[in-house]
Amino acid sequence: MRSSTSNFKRKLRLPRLFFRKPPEIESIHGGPPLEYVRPIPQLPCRGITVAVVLIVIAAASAWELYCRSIGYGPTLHDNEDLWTSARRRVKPESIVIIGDSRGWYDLDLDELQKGLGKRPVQLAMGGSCAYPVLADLANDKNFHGTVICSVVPRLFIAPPGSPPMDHAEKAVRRSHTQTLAQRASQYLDMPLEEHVAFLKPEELALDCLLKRLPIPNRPYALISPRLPPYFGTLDRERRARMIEKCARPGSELARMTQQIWLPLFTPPPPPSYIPQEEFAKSMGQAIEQRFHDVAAAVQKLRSRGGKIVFVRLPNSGGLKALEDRQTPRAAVWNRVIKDTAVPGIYYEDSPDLAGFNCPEWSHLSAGDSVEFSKRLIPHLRAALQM
Amino acid sequence: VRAGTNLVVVMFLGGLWHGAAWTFVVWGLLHGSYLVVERVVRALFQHRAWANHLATRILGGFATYAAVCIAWVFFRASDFTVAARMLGGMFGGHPHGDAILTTREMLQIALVTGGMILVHWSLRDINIETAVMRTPPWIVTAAWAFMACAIILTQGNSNAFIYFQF
Repeated sequence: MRSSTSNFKRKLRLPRLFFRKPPEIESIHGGPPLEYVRPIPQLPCRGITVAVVLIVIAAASAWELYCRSIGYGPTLHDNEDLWTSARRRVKPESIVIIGDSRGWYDLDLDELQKGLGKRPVQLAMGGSCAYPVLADLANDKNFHGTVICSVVPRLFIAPPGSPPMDHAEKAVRRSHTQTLAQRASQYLDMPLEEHVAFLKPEELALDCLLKRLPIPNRPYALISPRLPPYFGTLDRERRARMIEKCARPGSELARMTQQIWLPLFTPPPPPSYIPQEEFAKSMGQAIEQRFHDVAAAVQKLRSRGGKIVFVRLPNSGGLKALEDRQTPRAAVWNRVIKDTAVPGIYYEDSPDLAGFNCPEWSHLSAGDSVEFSKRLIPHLRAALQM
Repeated sequence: VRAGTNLVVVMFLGGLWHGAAWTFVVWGLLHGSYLVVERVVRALFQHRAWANHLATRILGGFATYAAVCIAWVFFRASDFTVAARMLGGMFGGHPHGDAILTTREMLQIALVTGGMILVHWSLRDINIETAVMRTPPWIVTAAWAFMACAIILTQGNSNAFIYFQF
């Protein structure tokens, strides 16, 4: 008769079945033995490790010094997780800035706080469409605050699936689905980005550097337009400031950035796999749908007591001419204001807002953003009946 | 027969594990069927002299690579329409399609793919530990340092890893 102790011993031994030594027949008869001992290469591992660490530190330091010497500085990278951290700060009665990079660079949070009594939360995103964030705020039943929405027409009517929509939708999605690991990763990442200049995933990553190789392209290759270079910094509140090197009138960086905006603001050619008329028709329908969706989101927000104001922020030079030609005021701005019955502030309508010059044609310098925001406050207070 | 069935079932489940979509099921079943074909071919021809000839092995390697590339189409395509369009393109079905890749990207892909095939080929009859053991320490040091610097320079976002996208 077996005792309970022997049963217990037997149970304890059970796992050994899985790690048992292979019998001779299993070791010599085809296939690897059940137990495989990984050979460890006999190398001077300690010496190699020390040498590798020293080489990597030296190479990274040299790369950092070089990047700083050509004008790069440390800044946070605007990703979905940084946006999510700002979205988390939105309280039911917050003032929120949404829209594109002009809302980012041109509106100074300190001045707006002084003038409006509350520090706004910065939810605008570079190169993005305002609609997904507007819809998210409209669907947030707790939110009944104030929205300041920057409108760059080409981005505002960007169709579903286009980069401006994707960019904003990704951020909104992340704010609803962010995992603890992603949140922790962002907190670990921020101190690094705040101190290391070469951390520029959209400009100094290996793939971006390879793109600069002077390799001629095959004819008709569809090449994405180049993104603007580093011309501003971002802090943990997502406040964007233009760097001095770009803000200097006529600087090389400003001139280079001006020429990058032009192809970026020019619509890409229609795809070859859809007839052009069909494509134009689908684009027209998508734009109409956008006007309808924006009006619906505004209505929803207002029904809870929320307020919203649309703002057209300054642009200059060749980019202003291009925007006025491609997306004239009557086609987008007037239509949005009419459909939503929301107050709008168009910088050209007010002499005190119209005199600003954007060094790189699209954004105000850090100094001008302070003065512009100061002058914008009476307009905002009037529009929002504050 | 039982081993073959098990291989197909395991790869079918492996496909489903990657996501609840028929494209993943097809990816798994293709891999399962490839493994079965490999076993059958090996059983039938492994003792023939021509089967172990270098040219046959090279041809076999390329056939495997092509078959796996076809399976990956179903892994990455969002649906069967996209998969069919991609497969059509792979077999010359869109001679006048948009030139969406730059010359630099094509060169880069060719170099990386060629390099990976070479590495796999060179490690075919030797394990990585033995290969490292035979390499002079200064080359190992340089290789490690190069790889670490490349990782730093790549600045990859951890979310780029495919398994975070499901």
